[in-house]
Amino acid sequence: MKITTSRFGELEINEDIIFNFVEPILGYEHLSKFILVDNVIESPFKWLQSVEDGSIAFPVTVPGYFGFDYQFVIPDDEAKKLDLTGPNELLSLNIAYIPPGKPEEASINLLGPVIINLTNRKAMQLVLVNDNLSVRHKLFPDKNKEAVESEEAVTKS
Amino acid sequence: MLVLTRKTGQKLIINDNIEVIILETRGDSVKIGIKAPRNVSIYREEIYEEIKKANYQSGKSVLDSDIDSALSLLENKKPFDTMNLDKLPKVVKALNEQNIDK
Repeated sequence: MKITTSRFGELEINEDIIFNFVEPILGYEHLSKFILVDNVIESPFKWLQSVEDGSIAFPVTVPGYFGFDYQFVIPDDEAKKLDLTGPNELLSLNIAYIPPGKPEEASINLLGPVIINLTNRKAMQLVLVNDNLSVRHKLFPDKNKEAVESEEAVTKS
Repeated sequence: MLVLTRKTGQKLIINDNIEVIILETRGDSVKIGIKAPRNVSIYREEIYEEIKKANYQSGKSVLDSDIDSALSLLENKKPFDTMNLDKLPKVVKALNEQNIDK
């Protein structure tokens, strides 16, 4: 099938690469079909592109690439929704946000990972019960500090 | 919606297996204790709203060029080799080919 996207133009996709969200990406309850677009080969960021609305695509990545020690437990009831039987068929991705023009403030949502069963392509956004995890975990904490410091320097001078 | 009044220390039992106790009230804050089976998820409503808001921003406003600028901040670029992503050859390869075709 053909889909038209605002970021990648027209894509010809096989239906067997579509993920079916059995629980929505929160706020996008009307969208259940997504594909993973690998726009730049070897980039740690991929795009979770909506099949139903070409203008919606979430940049996703894995925290491990940025050196974060990140783990969570999928409650049994949630695992059942995806018919997950083991970690081998699981793909876990975190939605990123990069404010336009402020890449140093890029963050990822560690509290609401997107989990995908690669065997049956069922997917969902999981909401974790963990007060230590942030919805906007900064990808470049050092860069942020530098930015703040240089702002301070400007203010002082 | 059921509305009822409880005093500090009083409990509610929901569905035989969930116990809610009012621990403390102070000004407009109420401290609540909940005893529930492990498989019951309890969330603060704001978490949902916060995730929704983050999703809206990520889904609509981020462009490929923003990702490029974020990547340029990465000091140690290493090959992207992640858990289970190698199981997606069909997705990744098919799409790459299309992008190359374009």
